[in-house]
Amino acid sequence: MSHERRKHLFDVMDEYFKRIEYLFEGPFASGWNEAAQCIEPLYNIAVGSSEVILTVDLPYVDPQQVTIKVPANDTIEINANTKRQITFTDMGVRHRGGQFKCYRARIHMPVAVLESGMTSKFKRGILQVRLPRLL
Amino acid sequence: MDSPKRLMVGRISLAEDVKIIEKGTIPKKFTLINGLPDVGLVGLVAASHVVSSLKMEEVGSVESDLFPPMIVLHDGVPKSPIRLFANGSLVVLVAETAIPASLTRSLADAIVNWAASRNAETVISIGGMAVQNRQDIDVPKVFAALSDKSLEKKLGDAAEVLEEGYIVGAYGLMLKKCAEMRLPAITLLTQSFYNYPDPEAAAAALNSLSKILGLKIEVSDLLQRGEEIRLRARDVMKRTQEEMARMGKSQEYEVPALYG
Repeated sequence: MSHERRKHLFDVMDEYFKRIEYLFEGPFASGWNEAAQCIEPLYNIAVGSSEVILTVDLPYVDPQQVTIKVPANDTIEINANTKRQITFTDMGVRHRGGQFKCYRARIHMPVAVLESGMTSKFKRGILQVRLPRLL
Repeated sequence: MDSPKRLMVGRISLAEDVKIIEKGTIPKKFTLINGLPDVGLVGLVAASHVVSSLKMEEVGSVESDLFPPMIVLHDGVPKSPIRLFANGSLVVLVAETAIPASLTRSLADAIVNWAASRNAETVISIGGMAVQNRQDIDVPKVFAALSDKSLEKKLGDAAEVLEEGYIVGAYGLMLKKCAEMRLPAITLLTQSFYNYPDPEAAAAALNSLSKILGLKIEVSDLLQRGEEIRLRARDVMKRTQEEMARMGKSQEYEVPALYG
């Protein structure tokens, strides 16, 4: 029960901060972190009755260069190095500097998950991670 | 300069009109291809590929007081993010920014009204249909929603006809309006990722489009540049996902309650 209460409070705060971020959207909210040379990837979370399926879009990534960590039962960290350096110039944008060598994401899970039993696959440039739910 | 009709709702002034501004020659007989940002950005990626591979000429833009105050620069020239291109008997509409959910109906009405006023022969809209196992699908399947059953002959084996289901967003509204106005319309919906740009799905949609039009659209370049396209389209996909959530896009995956 106390876990449920904490979860509820966290969700309310999370929603609040997302709202603040939306209202005060700044020039660095797009997920291209030039200082860290990392891109925040697009991801999707599907919650099932017994497991959570997380997918992450990782174009230009070598599957051997992906690391997945579960630092807490409601958080997953994804780090992935790109096969080559990516610049804005590659995409026709010449007024912005910056080069990118990795994707990095710290993803909050909507329900608690277990690291043991976690499986992953990389196909079509998409990482799929399946984690059992902590029930 | 004529001013748009305005409808006052409380203290908010809502312009009725989204305008199509023509800047070039519109063919007398044409098929309109719509590439609006949607599931997997299938329409945007496919329509952009048609524009570049057929070297289409810009012939117009879509403008409204209600659109976000933005322009896009291409080759140093300021442009509307929603533009029309033409070549031969094809006119392609491409939106390279997310469409605010609140403007979906106005935009859909404006496009269909313009197409009807210019005597478009057919309206073909290209979009995605999210499937959970997309990662394991090598060749995405293409489905078609039709404004009229008689279009099944024109469709041939290019796509499988959708018989039941919801379509949420501009394409659904456009299909219904076309049906009411007896303007032949086909909405191609290709199996795709929901919130990742999907060039493979766009290529599958274009293969179907080629069959319908009887015009070969080469997609090998689109597939080769898949990773580049996915990365370039990432920011538009993020914005589009927010708008899809606002318009209740997830209802497309629900089953209609009434049965015959």
